[in-house]
Amino acid sequence: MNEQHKSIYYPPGGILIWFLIILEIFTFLGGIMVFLNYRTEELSLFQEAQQQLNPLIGTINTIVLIISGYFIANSIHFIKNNENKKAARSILISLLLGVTFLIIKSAEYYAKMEQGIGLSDNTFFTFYWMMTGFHFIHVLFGIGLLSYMYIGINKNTYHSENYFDVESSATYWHLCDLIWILIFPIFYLI
Amino acid sequence: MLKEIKINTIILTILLVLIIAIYLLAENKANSSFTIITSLTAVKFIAISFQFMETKKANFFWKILVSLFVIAFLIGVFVLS
Repeated sequence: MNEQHKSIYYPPGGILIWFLIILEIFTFLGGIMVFLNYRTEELSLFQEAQQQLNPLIGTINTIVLIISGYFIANSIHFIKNNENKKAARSILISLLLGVTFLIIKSAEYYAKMEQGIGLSDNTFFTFYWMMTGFHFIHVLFGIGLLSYMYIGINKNTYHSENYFDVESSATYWHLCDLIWILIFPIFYLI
Repeated sequence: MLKEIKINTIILTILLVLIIAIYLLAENKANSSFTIITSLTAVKFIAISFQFMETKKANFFWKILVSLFVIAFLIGVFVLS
């Protein structure tokens, strides 16, 4: 399989998931660029609005998602090595961390809604809700995928001879990491 | 196999250090923090993509595409901010 990855048509996880990744990250890049353009025009408003976000919560969520990505990356090595129990356990940890991310993010959303900060509050929060909300949906979908993989490994549907779906799902999960890595500093830090 | 997990663990440690460093830098609001935060974000992106996503094992084309994306991100952020 590793030698196969050297072909342009077989990147790790498969070419279709890579098309999706390229499409998604460039879409988010476009969103970030438009956000930064508006930020230049309304700098004081954006800086004021940013004060209403808690960078510590964002940082904790980044750590949660990165550790989750680490476990899903390890699960691929375990499944390739026919260590299905370890692979399933790694996916489960990854899954639980993904759920933790969503719980923290939901709490943050709830706090914002309690303060009356909505989608149309100002330009900063329009972007904030749209982009983090879009990412939230990606994570939610990823959790569904990982749950399916976890069940599949436990049923022995996926093993060292058949792990392509698991690898594709892991690649999708890393996409969630990558998107968050890009949007987190833009909204919370700079 | 164990070697790959060892490398993953090293990369994870580096990423965690970078995330905490970025947070502390942003809290201090130093003049150079914007440049450093953006550059470290690019480093994190590359680390996740090449190690966790195994882009390092992929064809040259995908490595170039990921690298071009990071360059586009850096140029875009520096030009528009």
